[in-house]
Amino acid sequence: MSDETHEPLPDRRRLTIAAICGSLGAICTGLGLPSLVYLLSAPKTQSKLQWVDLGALDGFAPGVPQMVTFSRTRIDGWVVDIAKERAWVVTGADGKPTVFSPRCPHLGCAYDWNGALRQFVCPCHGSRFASDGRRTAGPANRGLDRYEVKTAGRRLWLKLAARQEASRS
Amino acid sequence: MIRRTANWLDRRTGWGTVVRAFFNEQIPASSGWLQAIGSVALFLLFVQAFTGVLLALNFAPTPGQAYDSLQYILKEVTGGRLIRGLHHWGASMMIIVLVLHMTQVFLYAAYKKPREVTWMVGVVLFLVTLAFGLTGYLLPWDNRAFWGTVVTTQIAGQAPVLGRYVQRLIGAESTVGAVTFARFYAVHTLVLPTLAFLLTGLHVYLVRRHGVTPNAFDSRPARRFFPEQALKDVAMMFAAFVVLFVLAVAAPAPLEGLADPTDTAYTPRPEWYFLFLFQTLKFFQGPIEPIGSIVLPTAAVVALFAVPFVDRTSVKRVAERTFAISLVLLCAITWTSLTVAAVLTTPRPGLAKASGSAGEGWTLAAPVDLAGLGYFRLAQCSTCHDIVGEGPKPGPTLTGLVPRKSRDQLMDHLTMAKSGADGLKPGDLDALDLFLRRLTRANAMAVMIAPPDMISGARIFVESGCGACHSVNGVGGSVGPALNGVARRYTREWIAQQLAKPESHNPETVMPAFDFTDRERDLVISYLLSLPGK
Repeated sequence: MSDETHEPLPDRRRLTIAAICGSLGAICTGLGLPSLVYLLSAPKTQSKLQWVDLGALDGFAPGVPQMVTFSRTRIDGWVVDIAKERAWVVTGADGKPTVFSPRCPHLGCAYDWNGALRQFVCPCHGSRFASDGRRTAGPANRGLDRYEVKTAGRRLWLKLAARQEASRS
Repeated sequence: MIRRTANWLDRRTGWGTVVRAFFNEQIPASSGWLQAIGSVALFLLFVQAFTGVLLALNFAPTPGQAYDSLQYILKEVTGGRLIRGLHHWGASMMIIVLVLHMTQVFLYAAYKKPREVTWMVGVVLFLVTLAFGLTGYLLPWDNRAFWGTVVTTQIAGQAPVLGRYVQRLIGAESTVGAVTFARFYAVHTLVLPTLAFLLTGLHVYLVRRHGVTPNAFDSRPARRFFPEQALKDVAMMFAAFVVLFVLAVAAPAPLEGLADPTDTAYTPRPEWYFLFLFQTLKFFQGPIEPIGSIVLPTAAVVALFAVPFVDRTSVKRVAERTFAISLVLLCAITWTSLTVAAVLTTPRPGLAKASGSAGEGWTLAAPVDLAGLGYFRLAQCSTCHDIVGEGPKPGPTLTGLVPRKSRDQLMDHLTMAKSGADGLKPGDLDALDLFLRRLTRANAMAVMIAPPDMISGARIFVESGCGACHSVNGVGGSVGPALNGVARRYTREWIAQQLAKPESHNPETVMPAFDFTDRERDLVISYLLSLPGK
């Protein structure tokens, strides 16, 4: 600190510091903003919806929920493959089928049909749902999620996006 | 509030002392822009680490998936192309900056006592940077990466006695494959970064310990690092960043087709900063090849390490260091001429353009062009004709010749027994005619390297009339969906099912079923999967 006289004048010093901070700020912005976009943006192509064949309509007896396993194309990041997936099919008295996503809407556990209670019961936190998907007990804040379905050629079809885990109704 | 927090932290950690010591470092008055180059290298190290981590977050480090995940980064992730561009061009920039830094230190004799170890650590850091470049080159797993690494690992195998063990160590004893990839990835992302940061820490510590080398003939008193010299450092970093950013945005980092170990037509070339070594190798053929590949590079590294011990002369002004200046000029001229020679001998008319970032040239060709090439090969036209003038053949060069002939003249020739095309059906002859008429230097080079299976696939595609409903590379009908990028959307099994029983995927489809043999189906699906995606 002996050479105070060689220090630049206060104004010039302030300007220099401002230039340093400005340049560093610009570099951080130039690197930081694209990085945030890179990390937080969704994949550019939203995959098309596909119809998946669940089987013959006659196979689903009215009243009894039935679990079906089906294969479908799934896009998982850069991996495109055929993935196995499950769904619950409940056919009403009128013969109209409803298909539920196999995940509990609370925190995503796989629930099961309890024949004695005649309800869907989630083993994780005890959420329960009636056979029409209505929530009857437990921490879930809504009923079971449904897939969009259609019947064609006496077969049941379900609509899924290739990137999607399970569709929300 | 901020001041109170800072004080609280300072009393417990003493960090304020560290920061003040850093900012108030006494530096010689002769320091200026040249002394800031080292800071730019440090800055680039951070940029490379930062962008490298970002890339790794979306990268699958196995040969099977690396290429797919890189495509995902480039096409699906917003900003992915920019981040890869920064990392790719940052690597090249790092080499340039390090060479400038070393040249400056060398010319100013800043390696002299007591700074010998600082210099030697710097040389190791330079080698670490080259190792970064070498290992990172393989990671995109495209043709360029694969074949480039085949050559480098073979060179490593030439090292006397140790060659086999080096190859085993880098997992490339029998072939460049999964083990090689794992080794290169681990070295690139774990070993080298650790080394680079530790050695950089040591290097910076040594620079601080001995201080910036003063100009012995400048008697002005020392001054503080902050803020004048700090601004010079930051301004250089900022300029480097702007150049890097513009490069990353404007010049796409190269990416070729997926690595194809069966591609016999590929001419591998190393990264630009290794081209001089590649060219040097050409002077040492046969039994003396290890001289060019192993002995000379090793000697150069040893010479770099030895610099502070060889030059023990007293301090002189830079302008009077004629020997050092001549040496630098000699190196620069040698390097430039070797690199230029290597670039000039690289065969790349058309090919280079076609195999740019969008995939290999042939994957961009219309199916009918590829099919025509199939007939071209079937008729063995190249027995008598060369295509772009690559070698003396009995018949005339084909590029540009056919458009000058009438269709009758061509058909007369093709149906002659000696032409080799006499076995073709009339429809096939039409395709061949079309192919020959559209042959230009650019598309010939691009299309000629197409693998035989893909050509057969394209032929089946054309013969089955797929193009009536579907477009490929912008050519074809629009009744059905365009087929570019089916590999992204469907699996081989799904397409096989779609071809055999289209209604099983969609009961309302208008697509007819195709009764292919297993072989035909495999070929046409392989062709479809090879199409570049959108």
